[in-house]
Amino acid sequence: MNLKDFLEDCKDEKVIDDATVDRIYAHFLVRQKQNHTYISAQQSQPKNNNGLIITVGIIGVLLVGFGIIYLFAHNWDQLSRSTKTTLSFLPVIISILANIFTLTKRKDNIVWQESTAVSTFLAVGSMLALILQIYHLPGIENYFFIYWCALCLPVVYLLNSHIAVFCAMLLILLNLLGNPMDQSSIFRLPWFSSLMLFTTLIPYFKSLFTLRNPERYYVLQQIALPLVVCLSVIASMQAAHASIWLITFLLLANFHLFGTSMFLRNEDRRPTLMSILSYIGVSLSLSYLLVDPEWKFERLLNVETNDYRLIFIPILLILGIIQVLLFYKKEKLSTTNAFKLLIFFPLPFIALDYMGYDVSSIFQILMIITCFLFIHFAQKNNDGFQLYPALSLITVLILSFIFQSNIRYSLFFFALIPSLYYFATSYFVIEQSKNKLNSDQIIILCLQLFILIVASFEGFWSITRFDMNSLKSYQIVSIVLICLGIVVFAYKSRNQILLHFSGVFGIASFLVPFLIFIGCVTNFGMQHFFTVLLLLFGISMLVFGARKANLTVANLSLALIGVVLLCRFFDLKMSLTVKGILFIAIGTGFFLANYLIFKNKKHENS
Amino acid sequence: MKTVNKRLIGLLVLSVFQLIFPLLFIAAKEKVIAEGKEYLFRIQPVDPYDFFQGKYVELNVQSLSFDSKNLTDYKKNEIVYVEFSQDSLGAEINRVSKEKTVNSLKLKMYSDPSVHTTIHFKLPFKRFYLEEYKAKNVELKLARSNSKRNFVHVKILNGEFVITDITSDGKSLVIEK
Repeated sequence: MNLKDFLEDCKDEKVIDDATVDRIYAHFLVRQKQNHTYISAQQSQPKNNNGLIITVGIIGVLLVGFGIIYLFAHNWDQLSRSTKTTLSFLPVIISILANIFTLTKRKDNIVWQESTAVSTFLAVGSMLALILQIYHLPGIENYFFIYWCALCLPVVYLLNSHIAVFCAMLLILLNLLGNPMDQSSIFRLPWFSSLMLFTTLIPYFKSLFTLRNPERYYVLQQIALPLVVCLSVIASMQAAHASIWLITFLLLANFHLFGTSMFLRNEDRRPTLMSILSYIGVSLSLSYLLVDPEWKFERLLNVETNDYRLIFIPILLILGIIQVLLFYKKEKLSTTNAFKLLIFFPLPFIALDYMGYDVSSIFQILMIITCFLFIHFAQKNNDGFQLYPALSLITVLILSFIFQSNIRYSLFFFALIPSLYYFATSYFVIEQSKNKLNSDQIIILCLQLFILIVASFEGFWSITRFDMNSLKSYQIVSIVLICLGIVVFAYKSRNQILLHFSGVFGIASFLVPFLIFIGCVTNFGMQHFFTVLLLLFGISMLVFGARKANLTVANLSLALIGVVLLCRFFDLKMSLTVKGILFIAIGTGFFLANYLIFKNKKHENS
Repeated sequence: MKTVNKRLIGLLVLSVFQLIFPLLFIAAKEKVIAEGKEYLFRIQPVDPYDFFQGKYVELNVQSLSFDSKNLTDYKKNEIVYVEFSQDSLGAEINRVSKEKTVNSLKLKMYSDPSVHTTIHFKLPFKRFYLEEYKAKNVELKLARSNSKRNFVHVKILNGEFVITDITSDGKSLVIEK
């Protein structure tokens, strides 16, 4: 008996009246509708767990596939050649049936689509491997990966599979490592076939980057695409380092331009993942030009016979120029987007080097000036994204000096790095953060303290004597420029520096390189001075940390005093009792300071 | 509905390719086995204690040399067709040409004939796949026996080849355990 019949029955038996029957039934209908929507909402919820089901499905397919392969492999030798060849078709036939089933019966099910697409790759791969094994042929010399990829790639479009794209990209990359014997004509070269296969993926990338759906693959491909393309250049090309570098550099520059183009960029102008990664790549690759003054671009065209990949240099260059022109057609040139032009800054120097002129010194000096300009504009536009690549380039340059000069000067050059970072980033210090250390500043501080500790050892100063000859004149000019840059940045952000920890940090950043330099140019034993300085610095930090209730600073200062004492433990001739008492005092200091600060904080809070 | 039909047709076409391609490959290789002429190439003993060479026997075929006087119009990295003559010590290069003949093998010339007086041809027979334990045994036997009498049997037809057997002292190492 349903509700309506029951109510009619109640009415007939005069248990309730007509109006009540209608009211009860109307209320029942409303509740039923609400209940229905709740259930359907609950049913739709598992769709959000698709990622997990896809992963589990694919792992399942992989395990079953490998299990079948293993079973065959175990009894493989007993079978005749004809049985072996017939059996090797089995996985492909199963995968074909699975594909047809997916397309007809499960056409909207992502789990089925992805799993069957991956199983196609596995099935075809195992079939080809088995056939090559039956005829005793090593796969890597027989276009194995290219056949494999070509036979499977259409499933990307037929089954709308995203994971199959990663499989295809992996095979395209692996194909480059293959070494087929007859590389006589261009279409048989591994790189050319890889390129051809890659072009078939372009429609997929176009739709993915236009629709930006599903988002996780959109984000993943922003990393995977530049990575695979750049890796394929580095992994496969047998040419002079200079030409591999140039192609990688141009590729990264193009990816960066593409990542910031109208097509790919976010509506709120947040940098995309691709633009960030390729920008870091461009900056890092520039270190090639800074570390070694001999660029060797005159060997640019030395490539193995039949490798025509150098044609990519003009193609990529033209592509980059077109991208820049398209960009500036719509946007006005300003300090916020000038870096797009500067990506091509090294190219004229490379051309000059190719023609036989030694331009590395001029490039280095211009690079420093450009980096400082970058930092200046980044500070002005409040854009940390552009600040760090410029700083990292100067760091690479300074590090390259370290390896070329004697060890005393190395410490001075090394001391410039934390100071530069501090003065360049202190521009962003605001009132709220004046008594706090962010993670960058903690690293900077630790580096400075490390330098001072190294300098406080007598052994360090006795290693080498003062010697200026190892540096060339243009390198000295570079160092002077960097020092000048530090002073200018310090002057520019003097208000913020004086605000941050009442200027103590700023003064220390000046003092550390300056004192190390004094130590370098004089033969006077500076080590005791540095020990005293470290202790003074530690005590002032401790007092400051306790006053401002800053646990980080207080603990850092206590750790510093501890380390200084530990260092002196070895080279000071003190009795063991005194040393022991000193350590106990420091340990008690740790506890007391933390206790007092906690107490202060509690007191403030209450 | 229409797109599904189109995709289904696409999938069927792809499946046909996936099946026909290996069939063609197998057919070509079977033809070499059926009609090809057999040559015996000398193989050197290999180190049987290499644990990384799992399921195959590393053949280590001796490279064959040819006088470069007859190769004046050939370039480095060129693909050539090589004919062999067979004697009791193994196959030797008989003739090198640019045209394919019935019993020639396609090879790549890695060295430059204008620079070197003799050209060494690397032969593409590298591996013989066997079950893991068997492969180790075969490698041990090859190492123990006299290197002059170890051969790999290769059938050659129209530039292509198939490895059929390895023998030591006239006995096949594959069939016996």
